[in-house]
Amino acid sequence: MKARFLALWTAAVLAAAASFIVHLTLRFENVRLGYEVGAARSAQRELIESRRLLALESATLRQPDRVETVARNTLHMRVADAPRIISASARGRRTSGSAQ
Amino acid sequence: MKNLPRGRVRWMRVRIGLLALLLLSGAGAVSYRAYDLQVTRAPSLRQMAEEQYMRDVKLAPKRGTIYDRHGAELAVSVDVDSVWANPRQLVKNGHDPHRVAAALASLLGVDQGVIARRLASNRYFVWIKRRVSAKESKAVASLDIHGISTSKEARRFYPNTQLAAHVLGFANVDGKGIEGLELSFDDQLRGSVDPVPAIRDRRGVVVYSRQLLDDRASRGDDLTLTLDKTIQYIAERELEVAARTFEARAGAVVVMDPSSGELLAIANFPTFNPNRPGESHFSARRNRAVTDRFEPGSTIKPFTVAGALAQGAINPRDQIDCQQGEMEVAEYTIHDSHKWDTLTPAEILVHSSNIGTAKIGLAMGRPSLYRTLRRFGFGQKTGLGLPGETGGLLRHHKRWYDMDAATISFGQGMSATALQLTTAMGALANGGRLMRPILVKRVVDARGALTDEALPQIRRWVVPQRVARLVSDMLIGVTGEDGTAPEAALDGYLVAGKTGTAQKADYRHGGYAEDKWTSSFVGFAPADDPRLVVAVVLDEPVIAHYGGTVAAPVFRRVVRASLRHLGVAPDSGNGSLDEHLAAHRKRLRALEAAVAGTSVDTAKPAGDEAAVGPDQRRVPDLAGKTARAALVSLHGEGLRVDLQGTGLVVSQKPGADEVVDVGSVVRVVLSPPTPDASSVPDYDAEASQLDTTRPGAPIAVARPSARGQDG
Repeated sequence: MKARFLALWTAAVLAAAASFIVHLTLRFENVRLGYEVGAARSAQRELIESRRLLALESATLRQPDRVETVARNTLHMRVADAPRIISASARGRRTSGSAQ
Repeated sequence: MKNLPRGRVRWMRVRIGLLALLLLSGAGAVSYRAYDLQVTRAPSLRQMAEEQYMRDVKLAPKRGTIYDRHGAELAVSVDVDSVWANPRQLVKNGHDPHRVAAALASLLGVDQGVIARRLASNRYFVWIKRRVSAKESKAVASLDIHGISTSKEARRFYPNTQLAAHVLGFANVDGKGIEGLELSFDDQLRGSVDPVPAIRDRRGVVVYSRQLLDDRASRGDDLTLTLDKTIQYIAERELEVAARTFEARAGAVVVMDPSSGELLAIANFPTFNPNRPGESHFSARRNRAVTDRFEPGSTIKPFTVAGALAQGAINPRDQIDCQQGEMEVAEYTIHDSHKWDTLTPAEILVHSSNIGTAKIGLAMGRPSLYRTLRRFGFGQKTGLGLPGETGGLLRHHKRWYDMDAATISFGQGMSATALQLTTAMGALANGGRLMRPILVKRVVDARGALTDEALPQIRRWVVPQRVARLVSDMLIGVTGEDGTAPEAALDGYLVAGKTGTAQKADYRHGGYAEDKWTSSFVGFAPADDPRLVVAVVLDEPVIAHYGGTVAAPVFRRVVRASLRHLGVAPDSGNGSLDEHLAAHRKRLRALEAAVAGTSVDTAKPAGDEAAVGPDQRRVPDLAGKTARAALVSLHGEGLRVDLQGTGLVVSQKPGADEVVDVGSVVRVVLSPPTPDASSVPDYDAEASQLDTTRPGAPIAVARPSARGQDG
């Protein structure tokens, strides 16, 4: 009777201690994951920001006046006059797509 | 217990019972307390706990991006460093504020005295310089002064500098819209600034926040405009050239798609750089196309004529007496630039007769003329949503003076904006349907969800379709040899339009100033299938002042380049292409033969001739050719083309030398060339083969009504 009581008591104490340790572990893990998520999010933000910067640089390089200058001066391109334009599509203006 | 006296046993039992009762009471109290804490008061206690470890974090939302219709960035926000100081910490760490100020001033280009004053304060936070460059930020960090730090702030960039500056406007250093779309769409662009809860540790570092994981909710919406970056650039370039050539004080160009009402360009002169708005005069920042009204002059005449035709006040074949250039109305005399006897309505537009138009206006009557102009949108805002838009001035007909019905019919005594003129002319180009102008096509939130979309909307039917077409045909004559704007004519396209040359009101002395003019041209092209409506207005040009001389060439250049950009081929480029190519091929063979010293032998082997019927052709070998060369070869044989891909021809179907019927489709697949010098096509040689400047080369076929070459 006494031994059984002692065993039960010990088991209860161990269970309480174990649950306490599990709780603590989960708590620490939660905080650690929080930091990890924060770091990942920070990295994500930096990448998004880098992408924005690259988009900005790309947009700056594609300024129409710059493109025109490069086309005319560096590549020696010129605007095609009407007779040199060959339409690949069937006749009819509405069918012509817009070009960028 | 058995050996104990009965009285003592009873007492022990009482004591055990009391102890059990005590323990039970204690356990009950603990249970009650536990229930109270865990269940009854749980919500309030949880809130108290959260208040201890949760902190509100204020997000710094980024302004949304503004794109043109093809997705090119027009306004972008990116994070840059801002330098700040903690003066208390500086002093605590033993730094001399004056020395620090001197060091920072040399690095950041800020006045040393200003920095020194800020560092001398007793505060925990002062800005030193906001939105510094990456180089400046690195230099400040290299100083390694405790108490001087940098933090990220969003800065607005306009990568195309001056392009569409007046439409975009600009945002201030705090990210608040000040002008243009940045102002009128500030709420959508700026995003939410509401604080969100986040778990922070004892050092203040954010550990976790569900909202922070997805901060897109706080970011501003993205706008997609109807503007076309290329057409906007063309309009701005040509406007500036004209304004400088004719020494105009200011100017505006508006380009619109008449079928949808979408604005493709709104250009203004003078302009400014929205990245540095402070460096420009405030008058240069005005969006004149929507804020400045001017007397439209003769550009109003088509609307008067259209209204009169719709009402039945005149007939297209009517001969209207133009009284040899002079007509008395009330106590005033109306003049024409030329003395005309009688003119038809079409001729009135072609020669821009004031007297003829005045007679049409008088025949309509005041209420009808007023209603017509109102229906075309004059005297009311277009509802575009840009700040400062004016609706122009068109007084109610009950408040008109005796001569107003005559003068307003040809554009004096009223005012309009360039945008109003464009939308009104768009109604004529669009078969009488007045469209609501659209500038912002789509609003999309940070998650990509569509929050708003502008669809083409007909405001009203202004005039019947047959009348609109009739007036459009009349306006084609304006750009003909006898018209007032041959300079607006384009090779290969039919152009309809109307010039305007209006004296400016002299507010100081009354009446009209002798030497101040507003020159304008509004028209559309191609007139038989309008793709663009363009209004050009130049304010106070000095060198010349006629709309046909000053504004019409701008119209021509803008329309020509824009149609090319839109892929609208000129008639001359399509209509006689086959003949051009046949002649070209013959000439090329003759040239090749001449170079080789042999006679031209176009005969083919008898066997081949026998195999190809009169309505059949042998498919040429296209391998390794450019798309252009392939097109030329196939069109020359009377075959149609289905081009796929870019680069050089890698395959074709039907294959080379196969016999097919004339008009058959040949599928041509192209692929980018490999970086092998031998495979690079000789573009120069190809260009020289198609050199149209040589004698006998194909030339553009101009329409009979078109005249005028590039300036």
